[in-house]
Amino acid sequence: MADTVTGGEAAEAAVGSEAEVGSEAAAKGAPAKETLVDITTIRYLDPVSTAFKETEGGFVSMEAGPDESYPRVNFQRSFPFSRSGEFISVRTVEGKEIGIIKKLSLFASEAVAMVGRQLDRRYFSPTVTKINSIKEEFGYNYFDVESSAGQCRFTVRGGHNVVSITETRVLLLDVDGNRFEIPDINKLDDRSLKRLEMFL
Amino acid sequence: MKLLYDLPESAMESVSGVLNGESIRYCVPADLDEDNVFITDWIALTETRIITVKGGAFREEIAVADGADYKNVTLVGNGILEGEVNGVPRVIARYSMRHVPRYAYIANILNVMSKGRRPMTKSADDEGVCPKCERRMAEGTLICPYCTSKFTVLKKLKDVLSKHIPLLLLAVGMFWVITGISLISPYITRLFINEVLNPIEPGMTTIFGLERGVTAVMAFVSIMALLSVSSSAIVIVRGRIMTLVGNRIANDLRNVVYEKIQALTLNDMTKRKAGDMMNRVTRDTQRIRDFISHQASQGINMLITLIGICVILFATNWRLALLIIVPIPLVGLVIKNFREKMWIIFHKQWHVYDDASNVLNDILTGIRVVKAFGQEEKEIGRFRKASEDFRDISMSNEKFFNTLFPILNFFVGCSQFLILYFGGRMVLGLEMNVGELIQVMEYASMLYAPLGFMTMLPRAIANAMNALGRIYEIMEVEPDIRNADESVTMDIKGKVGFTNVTFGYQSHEPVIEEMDVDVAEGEMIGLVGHSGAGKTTFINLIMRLYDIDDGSISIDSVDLREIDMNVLRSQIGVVLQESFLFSGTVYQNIVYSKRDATPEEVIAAAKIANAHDFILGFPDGYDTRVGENGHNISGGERQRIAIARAILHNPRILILDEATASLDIEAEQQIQEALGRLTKGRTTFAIAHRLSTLRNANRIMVIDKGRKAEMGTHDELLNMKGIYYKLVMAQRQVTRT
Ligand SMILES: Nc1ncnc2c1ncn2[C@@H]1O[C@H](COP(=O)(O)OP(=O)(O)O)[C@@H](O)[C@H]1O
Ligand SMILES: [Mg+2]
Repeated sequence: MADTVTGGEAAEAAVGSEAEVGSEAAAKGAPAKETLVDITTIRYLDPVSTAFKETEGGFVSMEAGPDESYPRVNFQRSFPFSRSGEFISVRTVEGKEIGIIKKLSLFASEAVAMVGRQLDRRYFSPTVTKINSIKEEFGYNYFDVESSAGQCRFTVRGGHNVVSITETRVLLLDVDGNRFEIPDINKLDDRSLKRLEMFL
Repeated sequence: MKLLYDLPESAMESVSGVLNGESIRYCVPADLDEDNVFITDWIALTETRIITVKGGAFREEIAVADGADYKNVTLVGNGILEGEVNGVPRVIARYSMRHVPRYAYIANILNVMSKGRRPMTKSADDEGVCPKCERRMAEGTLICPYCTSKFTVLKKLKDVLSKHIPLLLLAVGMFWVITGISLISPYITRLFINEVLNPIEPGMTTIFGLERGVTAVMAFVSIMALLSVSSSAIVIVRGRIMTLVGNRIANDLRNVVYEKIQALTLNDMTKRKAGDMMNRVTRDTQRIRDFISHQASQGINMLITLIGICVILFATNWRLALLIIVPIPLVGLVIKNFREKMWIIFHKQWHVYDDASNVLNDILTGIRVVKAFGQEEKEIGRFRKASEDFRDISMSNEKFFNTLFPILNFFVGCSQFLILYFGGRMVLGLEMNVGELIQVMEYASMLYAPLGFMTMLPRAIANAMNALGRIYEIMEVEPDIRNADESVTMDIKGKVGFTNVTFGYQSHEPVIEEMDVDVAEGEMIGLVGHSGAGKTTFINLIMRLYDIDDGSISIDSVDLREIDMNVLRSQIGVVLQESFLFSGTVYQNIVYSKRDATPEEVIAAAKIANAHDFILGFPDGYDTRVGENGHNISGGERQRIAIARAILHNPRILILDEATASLDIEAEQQIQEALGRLTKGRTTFAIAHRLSTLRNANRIMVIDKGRKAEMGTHDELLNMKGIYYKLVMAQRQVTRT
């Protein structure tokens, strides 16, 4: 089955890595009772031996060992909302996972800044600071807001595109696929909050 | 897609210096900078160069030929145009999601240019943007909700309403009669007091030809009673009529929406939540029915009464009439101030209600999963929370209204005291007699009800309008796929051709790319590939569930888009991984594809599908009820019924999408046999993960990342030692262990 092949690929990709959780555990003669983590091979990148460098064109290259380097890598968050600084997947341009940064803050400060810039570019969701108006017509909500990226007008279809990520954090998805974030609705001014209220 | 914007004048000036005789062929906004701020920059393409405009002035030029591999990369909430310029990959522009499809075209154009060819793509009007207000509209809608007035919606529903004009007229006539009666009775009261009880001229012994005294009293009382009885009777009849009309209209609407939903394609459907659709069919039409049969009819009644009273009051005593009118603007003011609040309150209630019903829908449709993981408690908790939210919101809303309306009523009631005071003084000053005062008082109190009602009306109207809007929205959705103006009706033989086909569910992300395939009549093609490779998409395109973005698909050398859709689909048979059985009998499920089939044909089809024997095993045989609430049948049995359905359908082209994937080996073998009979002589596309399923295939096509990676006979592909070879080896390994 195709799934088998996918598994094979993953195993291939992991060859030659030095920080394999699975094999490490096996080498230490882990107890017979294997956990889920033991039997998967996910490569967590080592904060010390992994080096990032900014390329001329504004991307980032990675060196993960003496003879393992990638001219350009992409970064993807595994948990964009709940753990934005952890479990960052590092991928080749083709989209193959090289490894995962378990905790970005453990890396060198230049690396943190570099990766941060790439992530900022990838995940763009301006913060809404004020809601000037919301007009509703036939299930479409026309927002006019002030945001960290400037004033903007956008159209949100239906109430289900106003997503509550937590009790106080809200994400607005417009019809084009743009995202706008309200990190804490209680920090909005009263009028803005009132306008938003019907969606919450 | 608009690919040629006009540069602002100042930017144009700055750019014209570097044009060197070239012209701007494409020009698109780049509205996002590296610091995540919206800007108004531009990217312009001339015959040979990319020119970037930043901060309103020329910034940089890149020779297109110096670069390669241009692409639009869709990130999260934004996109970038990148390219390898002089061998270095770099970002050329950054933009919000709105422009992503635009840049997909631009990237294509750049790649064509970099190969020295001349791009043919033309700029056109943007789709999905209102030409009037430039707001984005969601896919599938043709009318901008922002610019559409509610009046247009009503006009749109004219057809539905016009069928019921006679009944509506009858009802309106009755309104007038009822109002007339109720307006006349205070006048009769006045006559009764002034003429019958309180003789102004003692010499008069008769009134209207009646003897004064008890007889006259009797006569007046009977007239009043008669009027009251007949008005009550008419009210009852009118109520019935309005309910009837309301029901009929709601029913018509329901049918319209239902038909529309049927006409929409899968693509349209997946964009909307099923629960949401159901709500529109049931709840919204119900709301409209209630509105017509209660609020609207009451409203008309009240309005007529209101006007009538005002006219009479001014005719009787304009000074007192003014007193009565005074509080009305006050009430209007209050209503106006609370309108926004009321509106929000309703939306909130509506959203919360939607939530609760969605949760319920989730739980019910996923009940097996819920039970399998022992999550009943949690799910019940989830639903309880949702319905408690709904209860809380409803309660607080009721509280709000129950405070607001008494206050409004008090304002209206104030005028009563004023009338008593000033009217009383007029009577004492002999400017007015008692009968007149009582008449005025009575009219004034009759104002009460309509005014009180009018204060409620905005909320009723808002409610109905919302419901109407939601229905209207469905009515306005244009199906993605339409028949060509002159569609061809033909008997399909089964030759299928793909030429350079590219398709993406979102047009900027191709799922099928540059696919060239030729399939001969009667050939069986096995489709193989990883999950997500695009196999299902490929066959969706043959069924024309979606229209392709580029290239062409033909059947018997006729372009798919020219073939009448019903003709096409009636000659394609499909068996999917999980076959859907409608609630109904086994028999009904099999004849679904051919309504006029004889029982002999049905049995023959079932026999070929290896279904006949197990069907007879059911106590109720072919009359066994299946589907929802029906007899529980196994997955294999379900598949075989679906195959029987397809066999009876006798399609020229057969599509099997993992038809046997979910079955055990034995069931699969039986079905394989059935399928072998079914596929004989028909063009067949079979998707299978278990490669052994495809041993009857004439040729195998391997799809990888949306492209045709390999195609040939089993042996040819094995010899190629490519993807197919790897797949076969991997499966052999699995079977061995
Ligand atoms: N209705 C849809 N809307 C958007 N993307 C879709 C839709 N259906 C499938 N896709 C995407 O298209 C790709 C191909 O899917 P599919 O044709 O179903 O693959 P396969 O059948 O080979 O497993 C996948 O990446 C999938 O996510
Ligand atoms: Mg599939």
